Amino acid sequence: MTVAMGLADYEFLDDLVFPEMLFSRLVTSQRASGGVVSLSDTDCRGRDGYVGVVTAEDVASSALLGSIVYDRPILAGRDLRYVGEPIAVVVARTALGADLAAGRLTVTYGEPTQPSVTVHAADAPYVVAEDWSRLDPSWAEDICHRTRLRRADTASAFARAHLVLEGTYDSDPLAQLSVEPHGAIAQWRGGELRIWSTCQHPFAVRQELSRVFRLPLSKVRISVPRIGGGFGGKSWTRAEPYAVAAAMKFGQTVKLMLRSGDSALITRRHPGSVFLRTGFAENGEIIAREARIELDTGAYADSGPRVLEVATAAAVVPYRVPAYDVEGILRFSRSVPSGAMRAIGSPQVQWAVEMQMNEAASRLGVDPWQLRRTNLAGPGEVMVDGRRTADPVTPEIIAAIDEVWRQTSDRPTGATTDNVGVGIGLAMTAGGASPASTAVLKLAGDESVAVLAGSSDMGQGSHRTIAQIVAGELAVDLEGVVVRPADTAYTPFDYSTGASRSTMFMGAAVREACHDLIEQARTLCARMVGVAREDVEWQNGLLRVAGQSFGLGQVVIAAFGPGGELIGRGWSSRFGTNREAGVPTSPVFWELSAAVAVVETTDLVGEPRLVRLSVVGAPGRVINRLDGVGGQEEGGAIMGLGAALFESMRDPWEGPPGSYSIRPLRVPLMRDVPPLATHTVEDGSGPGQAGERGIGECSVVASMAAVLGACADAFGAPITRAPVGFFRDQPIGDEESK
Amino acid sequence: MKASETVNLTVNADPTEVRVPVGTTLAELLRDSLGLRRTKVACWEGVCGACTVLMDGAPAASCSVLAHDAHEREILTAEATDPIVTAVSRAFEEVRAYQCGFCTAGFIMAIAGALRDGRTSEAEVLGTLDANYCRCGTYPRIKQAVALAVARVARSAEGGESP
Repeated sequence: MTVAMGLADYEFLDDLVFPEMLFSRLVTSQRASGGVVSLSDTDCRGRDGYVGVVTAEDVASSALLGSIVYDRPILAGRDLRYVGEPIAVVVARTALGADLAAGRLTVTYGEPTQPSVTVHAADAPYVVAEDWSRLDPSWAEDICHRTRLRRADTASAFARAHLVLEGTYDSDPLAQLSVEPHGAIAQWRGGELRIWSTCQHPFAVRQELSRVFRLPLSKVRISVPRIGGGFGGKSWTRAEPYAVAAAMKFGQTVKLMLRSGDSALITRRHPGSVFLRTGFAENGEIIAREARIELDTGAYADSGPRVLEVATAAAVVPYRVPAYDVEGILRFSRSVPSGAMRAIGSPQVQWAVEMQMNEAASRLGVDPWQLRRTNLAGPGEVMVDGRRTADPVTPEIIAAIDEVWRQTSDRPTGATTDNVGVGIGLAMTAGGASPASTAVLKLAGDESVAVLAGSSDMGQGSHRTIAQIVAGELAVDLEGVVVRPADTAYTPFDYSTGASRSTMFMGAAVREACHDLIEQARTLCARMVGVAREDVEWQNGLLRVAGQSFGLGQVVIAAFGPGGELIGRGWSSRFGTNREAGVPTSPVFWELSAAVAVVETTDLVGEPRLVRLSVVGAPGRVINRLDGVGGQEEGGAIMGLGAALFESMRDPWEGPPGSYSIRPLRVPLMRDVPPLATHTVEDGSGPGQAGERGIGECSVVASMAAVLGACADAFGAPITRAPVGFFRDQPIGDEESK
Repeated sequence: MKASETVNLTVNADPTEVRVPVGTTLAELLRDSLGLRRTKVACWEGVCGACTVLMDGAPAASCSVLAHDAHEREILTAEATDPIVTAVSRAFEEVRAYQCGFCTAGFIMAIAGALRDGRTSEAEVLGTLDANYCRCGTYPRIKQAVALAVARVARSAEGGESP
């Protein structure tokens, strides 16, 4: 895509059409146990272009899916684990035919097991991904993973505390619910697998499909068109295996485009329960914290262990906690598997921390922001032992939060009643995932550049960010820089598009590739002029030598002819970049956000109305102002206010397959958005090459905490469940499916 | 049951005859039979608004309308050269009122529907957007696009020019 591309040109997966393409529908289970006894397609045959059905038996020879624990069959058969679990893929010549066939399939279920029976068989020989040897499961107790972070002696610290607060704070499950659902188109030809997918991490999906279908990596090719939103829901492997299994069985191109309701049955955000106990000194300093974080990962591990580890650390940051003991427990249950969602693990935990900060401020008679400021860790300070220091906490960001807090809390304007509550939320999230990205640049004689980079653009603006970096480094026209969408056959390796990592790591790889191009151009220029390489200098976008100057394009044409190209390569890895060695600290960056919210209520049981919301973000440096930072901060804040006030994902009920409705999820709408101000602090404090860091996740957490804090202030009582739930008035069950 | 049926309808001012299988939705007719792919489909239950088109001027979730029921109706999609649809699309591009872009055509049509229906204030137009999801949360910039489109439509109504 070109950077100047407009809306009309976006081509999504569902817009791709192939000759002789078959269409498919996923059929999901109506039971959470008992297994599928029989599955008959007698009523489908010979009607409406029906081709056939793929069942558990067809995929029995494939390995189990999973990015951490290999525990999920492509299609469930005798062992059913949740309502909504995929059990079959029906295939027909038209989408309508596939829909009709899905409704005509007859499924017989076995006797349900007792609820006391565990999800995972205790003796199951689960294989765990190589880099997860630290996994600490107890299959017999339905525990997938346990974590613990400890520092100093919390018991003696609590004994000295002036004030001890404790409570349990619950968060509902959510659906990631990008408006574009999951989808995949698969071809199986000549022993090679070709897939077009809505995935965020094409190389990770290639790796998993290669393992599951036992194919060399080189024979699995994944292309990613424009993605209609991800939010973590399109992380790892989702719709692809179903389309692949059907393409392999029928030997034709097969498309599977899920409906939003089906997508919500594939992955969701973990519901969580957080017990939190905090001890404060008389001056308001935190002296000890104990926490027990329980997350429900659903029927399969999915990204749960990763989410739990982030959640455990989230109970300590961004404050200075001299003694802590945080335990994390990840449990299986007979419900939708839980995976990554924007700011993984932090939303369930940090609003609880902030709720106790509010309560402590009230009990100690201090301003809630001042209490936070007293406890906020400073640059160079270690918050969690062994982890990166609090580098985003700079005087600039503190001044910005101070300003927003004073403006909002002094004059809570916009309210129509006297029952006004003000809340502040601070949050810090771990970003970056793995620092492994590679990039290839093709510089043409006309100084246009094709960038091959595996980052998926799903609305966060990463393609434009990458293009801007290239245009800046090579001093070429931005309009001539094209970032090609990921195709694992041609674009070089990238770990993932997630954890807000693309700006820093793909950005670094692209900068290195620019440098590589310039160095090669210097060599060519020296040979062209007949001087030593050292005599050619790169200055202000030109190669200068012996009083002459040459553009990069001139050198490319001289060396390769008018249609020629020069290739640059760059990488950032676990051992540093092309030019600079170094192992990044974990996490590779901390993102910091603050939010201030004002709500009003008409009475104590009335629906809280959000009057204003202000967000402060800390990108370090902004690269993409057009469609990057602002939209990310606002979008995160809006997702956070939904999670605070009304958004919740109910469990699937035992209705017919395809009937799961997204209507009761109640995602934020236009009418829910109050006047929203975003403030971006550029202080160069990020660990990126230009002082930048990733953003777009932490504002979810800060906004959620601020809105819940404002509700608690308005009600005069702490809140212990998110969402507060006044909007959960939708009926559940048969009525709404009509 | 008949396997297919003929639907006569006007799409973006062009009278059109399409033969589709019985049970085809309006969204499928537009996207698959006519190649008008700016209309997107996601939930298939008329909730998310991505598939919004105008049917006889009123916003409709084309995923939940049968092609059969669009017989002899006038349909407008985001591809329309209608001056109000064009004005709203231009406003979206100018203020970059989208992130992933998947919900955008639906928003443009819902807003164009409100403006064509004579809603003249920003608040009135925004009040009609309860059936459109933007999960990226671009709502503040969609508000800006609405303000811009409302102002242009008002000016053109006064001056008699195209908005």
